[in-house]
Amino acid sequence: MTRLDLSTPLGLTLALLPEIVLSAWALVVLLVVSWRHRSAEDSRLAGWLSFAGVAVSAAALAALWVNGVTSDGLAQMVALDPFRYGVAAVALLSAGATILLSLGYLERERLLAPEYYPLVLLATAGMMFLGGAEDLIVLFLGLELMSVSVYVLAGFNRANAFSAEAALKYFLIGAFASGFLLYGIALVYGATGTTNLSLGGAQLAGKPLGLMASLGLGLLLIGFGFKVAAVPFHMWAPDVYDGSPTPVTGFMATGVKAAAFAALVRVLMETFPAAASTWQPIVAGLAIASMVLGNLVALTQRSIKRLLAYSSIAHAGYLLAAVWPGTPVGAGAVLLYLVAYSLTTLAAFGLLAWLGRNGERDVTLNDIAGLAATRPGIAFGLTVCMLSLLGFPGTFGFIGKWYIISALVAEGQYALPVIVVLTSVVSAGYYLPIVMAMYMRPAPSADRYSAVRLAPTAAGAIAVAVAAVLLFGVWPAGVLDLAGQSGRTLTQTGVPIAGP
Amino acid sequence: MAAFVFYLFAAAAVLGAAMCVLQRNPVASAMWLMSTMFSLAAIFILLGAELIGILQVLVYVGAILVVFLFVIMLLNVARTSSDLRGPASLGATVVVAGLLVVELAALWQYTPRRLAADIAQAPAFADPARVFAAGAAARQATAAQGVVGALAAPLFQTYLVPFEVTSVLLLAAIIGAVVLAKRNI
Repeated sequence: MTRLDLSTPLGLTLALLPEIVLSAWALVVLLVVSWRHRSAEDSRLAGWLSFAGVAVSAAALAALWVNGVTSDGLAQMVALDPFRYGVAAVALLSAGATILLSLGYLERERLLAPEYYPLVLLATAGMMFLGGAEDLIVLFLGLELMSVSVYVLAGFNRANAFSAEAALKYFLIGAFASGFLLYGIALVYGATGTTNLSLGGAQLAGKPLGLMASLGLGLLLIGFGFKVAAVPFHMWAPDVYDGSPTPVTGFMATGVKAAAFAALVRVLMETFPAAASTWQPIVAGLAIASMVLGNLVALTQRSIKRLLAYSSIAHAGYLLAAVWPGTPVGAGAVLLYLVAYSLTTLAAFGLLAWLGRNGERDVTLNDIAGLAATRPGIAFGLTVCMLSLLGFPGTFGFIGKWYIISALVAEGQYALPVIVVLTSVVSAGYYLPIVMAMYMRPAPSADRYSAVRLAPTAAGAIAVAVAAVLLFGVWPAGVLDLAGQSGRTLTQTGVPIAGP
Repeated sequence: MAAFVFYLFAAAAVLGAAMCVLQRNPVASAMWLMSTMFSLAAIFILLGAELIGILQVLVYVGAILVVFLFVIMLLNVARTSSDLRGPASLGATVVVAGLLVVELAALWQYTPRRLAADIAQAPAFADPARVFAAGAAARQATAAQGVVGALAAPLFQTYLVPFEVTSVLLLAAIIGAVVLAKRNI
């Protein structure tokens, strides 16, 4: 247990070390690529340098986490608690996997501009600021830093009209959502007189939520709803996920979503714990709509990439169900599910990236028929991913869903768990045909899949992710403990400042 | 003397603004905008707000205009014929300009004295005497820390983290603009 004084320069630097390392590393990589930006080799160099930056940042994060660093007094601007460390770890995991998956992919698709990797680093720094923000200003800036970088990544394949469409849609909807969020922040500031999350919660505690704070809360929920692609704010997601380069889609579906969910949980639990009766029905409504609509529409999709986009909307619904209790257990469940979902989704999009060409928009069930006969490794990996997304026992996805349901039942809520289970059963209707196509249908020709080559880096990253999904599926004790501890630190700790 | 200097710079500011709108070439427009910003900075200094005057030069002339020029050059804005001709556009222009003239005429009757009286009578959130009493709060802060200090302390101590994140955000936006607009720079 180490305490850092955030009001001193040294304390602040140490508290923000992972973010500082990552931002500074992005600048160094940019400097390097300003001299070396011609060949595929230069792009690879930038990728490996960026991966090293992620590793160093992860080491700094681990140092903070292992020493149990907390804030000396009220945390200003950034939180210092295991929940922030957990979310930052998910962001770094997502960034590291994305870099490894992109290494060969960018060369194959001829996207050789090496600015790709510094943008991934900057987006990750934004995620870490967003997920760890203890102040609404930092929260907003982190969100924008993340979003601006990801807008560019979505449109990175400039030659492809769908990629340009994805970037433009994401940008316009993202700017729209930021407007809601910013207006909500302004109203919450007006109602509480502070932008600090805990202090704001202290100001709102013990009295009915006023009109200004209610409006602020509502606008914040709409803004976050857009960012996590919850129904009815999801309409941008399928086209954006579909058009973006596939490793970027994986990055968006995991890191971006994780950071936005972390910020949502933190705002609701630190600033609005007293208003739970106001936001719980809204969150429950969003969760149910996302689970039902995401799963039902996914059933009708032919393209696997688009299917995974709708599946990610459904998973936003499961995560919102975990947000509902507003308890430490619920926060732990959100974090655990984010880890499980991120590992699985990164591996799934990673495999998809190697099964197609030109953005993988047209990979359908027919394109993976009989894959298991000639490429058993790829088929096994994709099967594990689909079963984990489905929540099959023995995979990490099952542990995640089980934890969400137990967090809900602990609060005496039974309707949401029933919907989680029922919609998961529905989701078998589109996850299992993928497995069946690979194992039970004949390949169109014997050498149909001989051209499918996984780059060694991508294969390594996917193998590690699949192994982790299986390992934590049968031996979840370690991660469960970590997630439980992280959730417990999320409470409103501020003392009211002198009010009127 | 001060009045003469004020009118000199005020005339320059209005001229610059007019020429900025009237120029066909976007680069020339930006240059005229720059002269307007310089004139405004001089007026701020005449008002005793030296820091804001200097910031005006640093931020608007130094940074924002350079970004304008960058954008113009990156996007290769061709000198296209104006699509604002035609009766509909002319009608809209007249209506908007007319509204602005009416607004200006309405503002004419608001002398500082009348404004202060109105504010004093209106039910306010804060005590108007403390906010508007000849800038007492600002004077207190500047007396204690100087003009720069009154601004610097919150910016570089309380709000240091947002300040730095903002700079990273702007950098990311610039990289993104260059990557998307011009790949072979």
